[in-house]
Amino acid sequence: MQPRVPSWHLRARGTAGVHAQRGGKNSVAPGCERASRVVSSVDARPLRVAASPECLPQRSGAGQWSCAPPAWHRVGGKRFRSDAAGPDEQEIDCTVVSVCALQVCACARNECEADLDSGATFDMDLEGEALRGSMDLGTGPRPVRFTGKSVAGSGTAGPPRNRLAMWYPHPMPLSLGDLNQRLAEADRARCTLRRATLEWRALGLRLLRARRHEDHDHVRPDRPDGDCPAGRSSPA
Amino acid sequence: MFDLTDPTATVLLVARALRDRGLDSAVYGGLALAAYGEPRETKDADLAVVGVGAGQAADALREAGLDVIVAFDQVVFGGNVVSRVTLIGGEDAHGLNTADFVEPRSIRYARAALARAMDGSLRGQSIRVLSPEDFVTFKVLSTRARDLEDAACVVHALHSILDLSAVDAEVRLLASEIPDHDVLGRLARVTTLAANRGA
Repeated sequence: MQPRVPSWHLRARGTAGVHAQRGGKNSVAPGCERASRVVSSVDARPLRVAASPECLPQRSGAGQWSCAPPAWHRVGGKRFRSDAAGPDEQEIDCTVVSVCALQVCACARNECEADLDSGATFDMDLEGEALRGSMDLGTGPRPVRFTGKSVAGSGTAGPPRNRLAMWYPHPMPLSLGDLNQRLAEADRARCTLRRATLEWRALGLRLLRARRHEDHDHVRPDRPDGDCPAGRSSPA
Repeated sequence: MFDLTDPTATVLLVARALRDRGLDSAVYGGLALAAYGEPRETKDADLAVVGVGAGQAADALREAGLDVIVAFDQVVFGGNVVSRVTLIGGEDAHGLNTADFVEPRSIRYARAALARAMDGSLRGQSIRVLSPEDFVTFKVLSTRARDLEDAACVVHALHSILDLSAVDAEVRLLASEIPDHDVLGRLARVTTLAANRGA
């Protein structure tokens, strides 16, 4: 028998002003903080998130997620019931605690080139700890992939996954020329994260190219010309 | 004003702070993955180091003008020892970030990996990055399933130029040096995952 899969639906409208803070402690959810910056350069209106969760996913032990019992939850200063469904969508600020809110922020950040004014729709399903879904930011639905990552000390330490970060799979260009063009686009959109992945990709290409040349420099007397394709003077 | 939410600027700053104190490091983690494999959302500054604890790192970062808090110091995670410093801004910095300092439990391997890290430059600053072979090996030494996915991603992306036999030889050596961590099993899983990506 298949376990019941909790699911929820979120819709983000408008742009900007995402002052998302994780409940408690002293940290600001990193994704949301960045989203605020990226998006607010476009429009000063607050990003609102409508949530109609069938139930709120909550962590209930080692790697397990379960539905919260129907209850009122406070998100962004507004309350909504975790068993709210269907048309009872309620607008909430993109703030806090709810994994879904953080996902929307992360999404807004990663897709900073998108026109959020047209309305972003997120449909997400939670399957264990893996999320899949699609996202439509006004240009048609596109696949998205979600991966678990913790806010409170991510990475190696492996604390509970209290945040589900989202990764919007842009195809990664392979040539330095393409990368430079995309870098310029990311700069214009003030998309810090996008810029970072592109510039590291470019650095990787340069490093690997340098390593190939180094290999050829040390070579192999039986292959004095390296692996140069016919008609070229360089292996690259 | 320095932006700690900019992953590149942050890792450059952290590496430079260590270097100013004579401490070698090489970029590891999500940014290295973006360099060699597929990009994934990342913000942290993850650096491979030898003999650098959280205290030393924190001192170096404070000297560079950051306010920092030591989150934990030299905690064993599988085949690695990890120290974490939380970056909480500073007089000329805003935002929040973390820097992880990762050192394999085999000092022999830690030194070797750092010695063969690749030299590059970003935004006009020199920066060292773990070789892709050592990136894969570090991920094998780590503990999470996610690390294996990252390693498989690089193996798959660079299959034609990655020296897998060197990785294999290194991991075999590490298996004898760190017998309580299943490095051979994890490498086997990386290979399977990489093959599945190609399927």
